[in-house]
Amino acid sequence: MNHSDFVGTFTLTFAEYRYADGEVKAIYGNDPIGMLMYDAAGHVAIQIMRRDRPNFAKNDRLGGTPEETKSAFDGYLAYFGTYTVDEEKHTVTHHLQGALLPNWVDGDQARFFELTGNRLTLQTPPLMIGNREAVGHLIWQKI
Amino acid sequence: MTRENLLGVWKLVSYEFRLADGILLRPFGQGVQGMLIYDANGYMSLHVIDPERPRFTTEDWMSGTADEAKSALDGCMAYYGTFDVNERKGTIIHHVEGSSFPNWSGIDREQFYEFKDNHLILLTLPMTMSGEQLVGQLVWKRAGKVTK
Repeated sequence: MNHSDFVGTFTLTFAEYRYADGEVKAIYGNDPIGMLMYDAAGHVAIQIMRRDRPNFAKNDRLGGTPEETKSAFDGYLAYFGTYTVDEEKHTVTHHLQGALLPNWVDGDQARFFELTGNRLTLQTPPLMIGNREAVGHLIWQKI
Repeated sequence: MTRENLLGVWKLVSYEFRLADGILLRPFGQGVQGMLIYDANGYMSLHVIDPERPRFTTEDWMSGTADEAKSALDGCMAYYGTFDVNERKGTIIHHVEGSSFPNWSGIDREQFYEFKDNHLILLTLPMTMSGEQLVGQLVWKRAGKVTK
């Protein structure tokens, strides 16, 4: 296992967020899509989307109704920055330069990883989702 | 070989809108940040954000107010998919699979490109935003190796 095994482009095959009591929240639906890129120089870019987000009635990026805008925001995750791998702890830490969620800008997002062949599993630490802590499980397939 | 020249990671230098009357706007602020990646297999990813957007008062990302969500989304443009180059026409076509703006998911976004002094310049086709006709200009520079 080494840093260079991460390098490449991945597509999302699975994403769910699980509460301590076992309840599952599929924030991005049961059939989410997304792309994750790691480059050899140490950059990372990630985007995850709910498939069935409704279009804005007006074809204007800034012209959504409050409902359209909230649904577009809630159904998308995006950030970019750099990354470092800690093989002993089995974590990959994303050092965010930019993010859709303002609170994540300039912060670190650490993920436990399993990398088996072309399959990368990322597990989040507990995150506050809907006023309770949930752990995210994401599975990515290297293209 | 334009396609080869595009491959890699690019960092955003500036993002400007040019209105029909010549006025320049910086839609993501002075401190705009962004990353653009083209990989050898034909995949691309683009992020542009305004780092000055207000933080949500809660750390719970599903519990922001409608105003917080609107400000976060308005100040972020993100999409990914695949790309093709039309060298004769001087354009890059982004075949968008997913986009933070829902209406762009599944469509093609064509932009004019130019390489200048180690920078990549992308010019959008004319578009309408908040009722104004405008052209977007994005200037990118090649990202170096990460030092940390």
